[in-house]
Amino acid sequence: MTRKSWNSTFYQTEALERFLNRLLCRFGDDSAALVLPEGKPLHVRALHPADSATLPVAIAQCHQYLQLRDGDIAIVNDPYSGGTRLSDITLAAGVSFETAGRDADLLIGVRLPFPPRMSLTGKLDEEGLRIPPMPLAVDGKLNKDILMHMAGAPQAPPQLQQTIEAAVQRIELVRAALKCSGRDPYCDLRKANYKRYLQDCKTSLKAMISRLPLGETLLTANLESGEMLKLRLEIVDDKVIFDFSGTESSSRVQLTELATFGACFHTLSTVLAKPIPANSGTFQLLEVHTPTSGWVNAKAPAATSRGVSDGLAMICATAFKAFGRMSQPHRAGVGGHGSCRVQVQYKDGRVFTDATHGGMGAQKEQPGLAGWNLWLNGEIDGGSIEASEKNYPILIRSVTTRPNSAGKGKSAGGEGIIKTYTATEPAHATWTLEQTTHKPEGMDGGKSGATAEILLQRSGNSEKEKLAACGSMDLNVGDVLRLHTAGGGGFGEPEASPAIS
Amino acid sequence: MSCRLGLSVGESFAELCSISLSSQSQRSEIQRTPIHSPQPTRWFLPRRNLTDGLREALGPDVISKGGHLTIATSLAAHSFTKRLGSTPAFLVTAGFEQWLDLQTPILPRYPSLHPTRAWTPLSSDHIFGISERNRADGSQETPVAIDDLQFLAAKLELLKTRVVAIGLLHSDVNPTHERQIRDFFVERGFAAFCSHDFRLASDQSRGELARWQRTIHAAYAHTALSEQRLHIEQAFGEHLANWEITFAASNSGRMQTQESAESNANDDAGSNPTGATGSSSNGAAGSSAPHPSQTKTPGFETAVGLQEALAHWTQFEATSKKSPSACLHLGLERFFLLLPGREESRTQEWGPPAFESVKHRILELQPTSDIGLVDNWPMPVISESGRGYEPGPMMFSKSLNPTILDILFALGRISTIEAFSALVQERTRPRILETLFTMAKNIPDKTSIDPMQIASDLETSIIERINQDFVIDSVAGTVMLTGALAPAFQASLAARRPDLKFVLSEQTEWAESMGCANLAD
Repeated sequence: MTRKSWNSTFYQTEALERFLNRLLCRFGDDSAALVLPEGKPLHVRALHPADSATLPVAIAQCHQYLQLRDGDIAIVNDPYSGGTRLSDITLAAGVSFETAGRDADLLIGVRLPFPPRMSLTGKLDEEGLRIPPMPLAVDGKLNKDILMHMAGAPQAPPQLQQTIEAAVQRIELVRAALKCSGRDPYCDLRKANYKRYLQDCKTSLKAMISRLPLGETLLTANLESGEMLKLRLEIVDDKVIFDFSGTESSSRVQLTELATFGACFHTLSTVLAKPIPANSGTFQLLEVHTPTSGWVNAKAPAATSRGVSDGLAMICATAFKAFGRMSQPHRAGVGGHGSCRVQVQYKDGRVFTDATHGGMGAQKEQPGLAGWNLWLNGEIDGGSIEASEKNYPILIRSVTTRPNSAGKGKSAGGEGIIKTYTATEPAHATWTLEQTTHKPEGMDGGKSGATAEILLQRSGNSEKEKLAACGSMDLNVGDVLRLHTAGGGGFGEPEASPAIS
Repeated sequence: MSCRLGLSVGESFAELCSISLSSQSQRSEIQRTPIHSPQPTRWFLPRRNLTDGLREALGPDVISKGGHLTIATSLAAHSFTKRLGSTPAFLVTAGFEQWLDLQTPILPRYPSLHPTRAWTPLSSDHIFGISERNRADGSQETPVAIDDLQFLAAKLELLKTRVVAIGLLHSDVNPTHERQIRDFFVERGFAAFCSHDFRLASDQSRGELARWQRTIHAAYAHTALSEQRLHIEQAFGEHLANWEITFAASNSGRMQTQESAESNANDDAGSNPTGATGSSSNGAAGSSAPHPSQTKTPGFETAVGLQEALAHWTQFEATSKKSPSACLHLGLERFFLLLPGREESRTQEWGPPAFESVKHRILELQPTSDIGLVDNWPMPVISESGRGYEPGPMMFSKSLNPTILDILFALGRISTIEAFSALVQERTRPRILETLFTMAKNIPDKTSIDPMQIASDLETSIIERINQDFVIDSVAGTVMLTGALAPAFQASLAARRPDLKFVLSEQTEWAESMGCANLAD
């Protein structure tokens, strides 16, 4: 089946990339990865920016500790074993290409995101139960006791057991497909096709990076709590360097170095506007330097939930702004990148969590989208109103766009969102908001978007009280929390309104 | 019932087959047709409309006898891709007018600086908040303000909107409010769709969003589908009463007739709440594909040819006493793979599928996928979806880009296919080869510029891409091939995968034979 018209080695790489992509699409809306037994990522389909770098490591760690064989599945959520935050559960499985043997020739992994719990104190154990790499299935037999135990915990999210069981079924489908892959020379991973694949992916990305303008730039940004993020972005011939030296430490917003790497890779993909294969070939073209004590390089047992959402979005937004300084097409208004989170804890132990996003920053010729966070597109939010109200004693009164929140400009920013919750049972509410003091800036004359805020209206009282950016309080029946997320910054000088005669 | 027919209506072609069914064994049998029969069983819709085509194909004798007609139509899908529907009004619980729009998927899925929300068949001018509210347990918190509806109906009259989709929170538990509103509008001559009739057990995670989306889709395509149904019914004229007409539903089924929505509304909540077909609601995981005749509740099919493939699948099972591992349908309009078992839930452009149904995967490659050079790779690349028959393949003298059909034509793989071959312009062959020659010259890493060699290499690529689908779905054993283009692929597929046994379904021979079935039992 050779081709005589063109060099078929490129065909092989293109065909393998397509195959791996389609294979991992079997995991639907969940990030998934294939990793070589020695720990090298072969292909990652990351739907959350942090996953491109963290997921392969979580899979590799499971294999390192448990020596996964064909039919085995491990579970892990520890951010310091390749996880992101405790609410994101990773399943890792071994697959053998040999019919007789069981030694893993390849590792499959999938990450299942659940609504994250918040910790205002920055302690990891307040965000959930830490699961180090542990076996979930051995030789094809699922340990249902572990699953039931996890699902039975009062803080467990709804549908935990069903979600994991469905993911295990998908792993089996992918495992079966990988075992068949030898029947097509262009999908065959046994013949070390992947070595050329990794090399070709690297070459392809190198060519794309070479089209970016060379140079370096330095930028700083501040978290809501004031801690500084410092970034030096340098583009050299065939490499992009993200240097976070000088970034301060924070007790509230922290993420692991791997998650920071994922954020940088995601930003580069966005700038290049191409779905770059995430693997050990392309990763070689990124250098990410983090200080040992900065919030971009969290150390156990720091909580990571806010870091993986708000912190990561800030890294992406800052890195993108840095690219914009070096290249005109990448200039854009700052989006309402910080999410607004509400967590309501009930007396029976149930915890309702919800995240609402701000508006997207505008670009030249492209107005921002309302309620869309460019950097957290894989972030889980409250989802269905009905599901929330059925699972928790809460009434969501309305979800609308926030008028006049978008930054004006030639292209206007995206509008923020207003979401209103009414307590129907006494509960304890916790919230964290980003961008309550720093307005999402406009670009090239565009106006800033509105800042985020949260208002409380006590039952029987018509007055609304503005609350602090983060805090917690008891709610009584009938109390209303009203969340206003930030609007996106505009782009370009807004056109003057015609004078009214 | 004297005969059982299957009608597949695609974007450009309509195909008819007859199925005889033994009620005891549920075995089906496709009627073989005499060669050179004057009556066509496939026709090109722009030349002969559905009414005339059906009359000609069936003849007055068959029409007067009556029978069962199961229809598979791609109109539902096309009404979305080609924006053929009419924008409905969407009446939603007040305070949530923008909720559906805010939850619409963002495209593309990969990181992009230019994200956009997927197209929806709604206009913000046509979304109206209704003052009402139910609680999660179904109890009423705020009743429907019926008086407000008077004003709304007048407004819709002014907007010339006659179709209404109703989506209220917690209507899955308590549909009273939705039915009140529906009755109000139906009394005034509107077509109204309640989201309660479109609920599925698998909606839990997306709840109202999935339900509302399905309702809006049904409302959007309602006008076009009603028109198509009318054309079909006109073919039977005064004998319409002798015919039982049903629609096959598939996993992407966005459709439901108003009639079925109403009939479901009157059903008990537990009987068939989905509005989907009987086959989709009563099957357990791992069971074999249902026969179209099991379709009881009207729904609409959106995958062209599924009807035909299902019939052959059942036939194959009956004759060979074992189930094939897959059925590859290579029709003129659609390529898809039919797999044993039920469709797993998967998110599409507008969320999860409407109906759980037989497992079938639309192939990446479609007959009208076009071929071109792209920046990333120095070789010709086949696009990942079909472009349809507008403008169509080069061999119809319509398009400038070669498609998979053109490659098969250039290589002489497409011989006589009923209704299709009449449209092929023989003089276009040099043009196709010339285009391939030009393409070859632009390949940076080329080793040959012989256009026939390019065509042959592209055919190899096509077969490899189809084989990737086999690998991804772990297909092993026997693969049944159906569809008019199946003979064109059989030899190449067999050469590529000697470990698989490719069996050409009799229907393909039947399609080739250019005849009409002896339609009566």
